[in-house]
Amino acid sequence: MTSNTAVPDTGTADPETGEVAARTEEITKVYGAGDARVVALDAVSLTIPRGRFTGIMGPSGSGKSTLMHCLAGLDVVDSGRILIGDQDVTRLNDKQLTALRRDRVGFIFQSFNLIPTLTALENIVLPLSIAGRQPDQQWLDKVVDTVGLRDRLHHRPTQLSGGQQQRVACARALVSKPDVIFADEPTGNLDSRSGAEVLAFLRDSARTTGQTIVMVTHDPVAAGYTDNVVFLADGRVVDRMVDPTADRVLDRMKRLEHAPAGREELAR
Amino acid sequence: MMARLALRNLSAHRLRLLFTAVAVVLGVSFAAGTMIFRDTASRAFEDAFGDRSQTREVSVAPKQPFTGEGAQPRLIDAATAESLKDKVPGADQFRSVVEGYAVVIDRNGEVVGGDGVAHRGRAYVEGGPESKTRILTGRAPTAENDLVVEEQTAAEGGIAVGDSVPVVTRSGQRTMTVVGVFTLGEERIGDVVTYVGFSPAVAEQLLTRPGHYSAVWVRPKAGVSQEQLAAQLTAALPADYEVNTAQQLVADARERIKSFFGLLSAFLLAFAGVSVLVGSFIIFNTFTMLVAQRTREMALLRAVGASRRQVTRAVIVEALVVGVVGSTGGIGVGVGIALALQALFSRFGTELPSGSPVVTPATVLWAYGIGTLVTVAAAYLPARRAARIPPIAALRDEVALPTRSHRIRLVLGVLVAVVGGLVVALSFGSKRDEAPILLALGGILLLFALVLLGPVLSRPVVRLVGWPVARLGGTAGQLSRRNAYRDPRRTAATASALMIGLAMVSVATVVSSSLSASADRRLDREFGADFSLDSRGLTGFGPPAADQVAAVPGVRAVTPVRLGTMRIDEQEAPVTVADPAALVTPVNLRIETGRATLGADEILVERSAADELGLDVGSTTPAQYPDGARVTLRVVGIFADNQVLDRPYLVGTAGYLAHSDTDQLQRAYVDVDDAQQAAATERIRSVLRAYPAVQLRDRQDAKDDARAEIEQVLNAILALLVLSILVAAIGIVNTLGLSVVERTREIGLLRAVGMGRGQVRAMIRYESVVIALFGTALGLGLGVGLGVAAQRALSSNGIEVLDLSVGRLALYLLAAIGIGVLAALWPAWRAARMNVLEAISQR
Ligand SMILES: Nc1ncnc2c1ncn2[C@@H]1O[C@H](COP(=O)(O)OP(=O)(O)OP(=O)(O)O)[C@@H](O)[C@H]1O
Ligand SMILES: [Mg+2]
Repeated sequence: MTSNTAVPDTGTADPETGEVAARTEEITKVYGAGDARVVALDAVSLTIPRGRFTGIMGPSGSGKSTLMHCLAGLDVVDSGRILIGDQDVTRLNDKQLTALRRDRVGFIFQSFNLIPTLTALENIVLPLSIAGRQPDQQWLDKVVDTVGLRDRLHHRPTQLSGGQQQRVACARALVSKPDVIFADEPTGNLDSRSGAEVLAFLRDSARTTGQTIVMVTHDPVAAGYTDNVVFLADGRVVDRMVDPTADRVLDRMKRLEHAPAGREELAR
Repeated sequence: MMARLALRNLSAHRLRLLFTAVAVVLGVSFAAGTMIFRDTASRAFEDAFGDRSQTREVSVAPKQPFTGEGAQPRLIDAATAESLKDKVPGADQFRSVVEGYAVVIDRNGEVVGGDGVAHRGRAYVEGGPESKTRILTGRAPTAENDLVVEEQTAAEGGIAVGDSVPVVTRSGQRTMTVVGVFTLGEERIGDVVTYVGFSPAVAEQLLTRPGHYSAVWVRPKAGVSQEQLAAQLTAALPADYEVNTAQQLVADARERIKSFFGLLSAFLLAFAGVSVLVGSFIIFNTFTMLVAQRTREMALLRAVGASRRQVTRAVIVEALVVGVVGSTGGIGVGVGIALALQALFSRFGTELPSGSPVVTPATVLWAYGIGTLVTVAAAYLPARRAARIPPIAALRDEVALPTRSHRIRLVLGVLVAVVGGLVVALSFGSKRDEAPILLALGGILLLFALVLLGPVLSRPVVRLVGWPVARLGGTAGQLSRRNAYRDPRRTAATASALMIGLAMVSVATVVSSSLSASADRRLDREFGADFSLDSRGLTGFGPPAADQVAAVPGVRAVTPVRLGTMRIDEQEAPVTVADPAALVTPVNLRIETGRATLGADEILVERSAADELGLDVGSTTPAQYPDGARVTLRVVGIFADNQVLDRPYLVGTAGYLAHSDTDQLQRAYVDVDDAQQAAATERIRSVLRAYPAVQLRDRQDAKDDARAEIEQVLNAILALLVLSILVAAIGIVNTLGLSVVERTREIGLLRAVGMGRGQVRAMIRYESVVIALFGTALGLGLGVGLGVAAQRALSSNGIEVLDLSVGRLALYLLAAIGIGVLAALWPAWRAARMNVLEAISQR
C-alpha cells in the first residue's frame, strides 16, 4: 500500500511525465451551517497528471462529485486554489468560466448527457458550434470512428442505447480537444458490457491521443481501467494508487468503508 | 388527502399558477368589464330619469309617422290643446312644451357637444311643482335674440353670459345673445344632451311653428288618477295622438336604453368571448404542462395505490382554486376595463353618462361561472391523461404523456376548413346583406380549422418561419427552432392564441383600408363638383347661404340638395330632394332609362332599389309625404347606383317642398370657374363666415372625412382586440416559463458544455419569436385571405377596390416579433440565471 507516502499529495508532478494538467491547493468546500454543516472537501490538494486517466474513488458522500465539480468550474470553493493548466479557476467570473467549460474542459455525466432535440452528430459538435467554430474534420472523423458510431450519427438520443449515448457524450468531450475531461460515474447507468466499452474507450483515448481524463467512480472494476486512482474519504485525500487493478482497489475500498477509523490511521 | 396534495402543489408552484391565474383574470375581465360598463351606464341613465317618474302628469303628443334623418316632427296645435280643456273633466292644469332640435356653434365653428349627443332647445319655463329648472347666472330669456344655455352645455362650449353665439334650429341659423345660464337640476344630463332655452314665443318660431307645441302635459285634478286622466284624454283626441303617463314614458325610455345597451354589450361581449377563448387555450396549455411536469409524481401516487379518479380529482381541485382566484381578480380588473370602455367611447364621440361602477350579482355570478368553468374544463383533459400514466413510469428517466396521433385532428381540421371555405365561396354570389354573415361564419369555421390543424401545421410552418432565426441565431437559433417544434401541440396552442387576435386585426385592417380606398375611388369618380357645402349638425342651413355663394363671381353653379324622408310603399325611406338634371355634373348622376326632369309626384329610383322592388319607368307606388299627404308616385326614370348620393330615391324640389314645412338645405354642390378657382374660393369662404353652420369641403376633404370615419371604427375594433392579444402574450410567457422549468437539465447541460448566459437568453428569445411568428403567419394569412374574400364578395356593394395596407400588416408582423421578444424577457432571464450544477443534478 502506498497510502502513507502518497498522502498528503504535495502537488508535485507525476513522477513519470512531470507534466500537470490540473492541480488543487488546499481547497475546502462547506455546505450548510450549524447542525447541518457538512465539510464536503477538507483542504484537498492533489495533482492531475497530463495525458493520464485518473480515477477518483471513495465511499458515498466522501466528496468525489463535489471535487470534480469544483475542478471543472461548475462549483466554487470556499478557500484554496484550483489550476487548470496555469489558469486559476477560482478567480474566474461567469463569462470566463463559461469560456473555460467551452474550450478547456469536457464533461461526461452519469446520465442525461445529450440534448434530445439534436442528433448524435450535432450533440458531438455542440461545444464547437456554441463557440461558433468549425470542427476539425479529420479529428472529428477520428473521434467518430473511435467511438464507433458512424452509422448512428443522424439518430436522436432517444433512438440510441444507453451505452451508445454515453459514447456520444465521450465523443463530444473529446472533439474540442480539452485540457481535461471530467466524467462523473459515466458508467453508473450502464450494464457491465456497455460499461466496459465506454471505459475501454476512455482508456484508449488517454493512451493514444494523450487526453487527460478524470473519472469519478464507485466501481473498482471501472477504477481498474485507470492509470492511477485518488481515494477520498470524508472530504480528504486518503490515498493514491498507480496502475491499479480491480482487486487492489476493491481491497482498498473495503478498508475505507469498514474502517471508519481510516482518518486516525492516516494521522498516525 | 388528494385535496391536500392539490393545495400543496398550488403552493409549491406558486409562480406557474400565478400565470395561469393571470390568464383567467384576463379572460374574465373583459366580459366582467363589459357587464359592469353596461350596468353602470344604464344605472346612470335611470338615475337621470328617476325624478320624472315621480310626477303625476300625463303627456299628450302627436304620433310621429316619420322618425328617420330629415324627418320633421308632427306638432300639436294650440286649438287642439285648447279644446281639451272643455272635453276632459279630470284635467286640472295644462302645460305646453315647445321643444326641438337646436345646436350651438362654438368659437371654432364646431358643434358644441359633438355629433354623439342629442341637441335640444326648448321654451324656457321655470316653476311647476316638479321642475327644478332655474337660472344660475343672468336672467331668463325674454327678447327676440335672448338665449339661455344649460350649465354643462355652457361649460362644454366655453360659453358665458354676454356672448354672442350662432344657434342652428330647423328654421335656420340665427346669432343670439346669451343672457343666462340655467340648470335642469338633473345631474348628468350634460353627458348625453346639450340644451338651450328661448323665450316661449321665439321657441315656437324657431323650434316648432307659431301656435304649435311639441307636447302638452296635463295635471289631473285631485282625486283623479293618472290612468283615469289618460283614458279621458285618449277619448277626447283623434287617433293620431299619443297619451302617456309620465311613468310610461320613463319605462319606454328605459326600454329603449336597455335595448341599446343590450346591442352594444352584445357587440362588446363578442370581443370578450374572443379573449375568453384565447384565455382558455392558455389555461389548457398551462395545465397540460403542469401535469407533464408532475408525471413522475403522479405515477408514484398511482404506484402506491391512488386510483385514476383520485389523480384526476387532484388536478381538478387545483383548477377550481385557480379558477376562483382568477375570476375574483377578473372582476377587479373588470372595473378598470369598464372605466376604460367609457373613456374609449367618449374618445370616439359617444358620450355616455358616468357614475361609480355598478357590479351586480349577475356580473359576479357570470364572472365566476366563466372563470371556473373554463379553467376546470381546460384542466380536465390533461388531468384525464395524467391519470392514464402507467405507474411504472415513475421509475423511468424520461416520461412523456401519452399523446394521440394527429390523424383524427387532420381529418377533422381539413373537413372544417373545406366547409368554411365553401361558406366563404358562397358569399361571393350572395346578396348585399347576406355576404357579411356568410363571410363571418366561414371565417369562424376557418379559424376553428386552423386551431385544429395547428399542431399538424406547426412543424412545416415553424421550420419555415424559423429558418431565418436558425440562420442568424447560430446554435442558439437552431436549438430554439427545434424546441419550438418539439411539442407541436403546445406550440400550436400557444400560437393559436395570437393567431385568433391577429386574424381579426388583419381582417379588420384589410376590409377598412379597402373601404377607404373604395371611398377614394368613388369620390374621384362621383364627386364632380369643386366644393360641397355641408351643414354641421342634423338640420341644415337656409337657402340664403347657397344663394349668396351662387352670387359670388367665379361660381358657375350651385346645386342645392335636401335630404328628406318619405314613406314609399309603406316603408319609411330616405330621399334626395334635388333637380336631377343639375346633379349630373356634381355627382355624375347617370340616368339609365327615363328622363331627368321631375314634376310633382314623380320619382327617380336607383337601379338596385328598382330591381329589388320590381319598379320600372312608368310603374307607380303609393307614398306619403312628411306632412302626411298620401299620393301615388310615378317612376319616371332609373339612375345608376350612386354612392355619393347614397339614397335610393330622388324627388323634385318643388313637389317635396309643397309637403314640407321647412326649406332647409342639407347640402349644396358648388361648381367654380377653373380660371378663377383661387379667388372664388377665397370669396366663398368670406361669404360663409356669416354662416358658421355651413362647412365648405372639397373632394379631398370628403375623402379625408370618409377615411377618418372608417379609421375611427377600425381603431375602436383594434382597441377592443388589444386585450386578447395581451392575453396571447401572457400565454407565450407562460409556455416559455414552463418549458424553461421543464428543460432545466437540458439548459444546465448546455451551460456545462460552454453555452454562455447571453446565448441561453437568445435561445429562449428566438423560440418565443418563432412561436409568435407562427401565430402571426397563420393569423395574418387567414385574416388577409378573409379580407380579400370580403372585398371580392362585396366588390359591387361598396368595396370595389382592394387595399391590403401592406405597411400596416408589416407593422403587425414587427409588433408580433416585439411581443415575442418581450414575452421571452422573464423566461430568458430565469433560464440564464439558473445554477448550472443544480440544473444538471435536478431530477
Ligand atoms: N448541495 C449540497 N448541499 C448540502 N450538502 C451537500 C450538497 N452537495 C453535497 N453535499 C454533501 O457533501 C458531501 C459530499 O457530497 P458528494 O456529492 O461530493 O459525494 P459523493 O462522493 O459524490 O457521493 P456519491 O458517491 O454518493 O455520489 C455529502 O456529505 C453531501 O451530503
Ligand atoms: Mg457523486
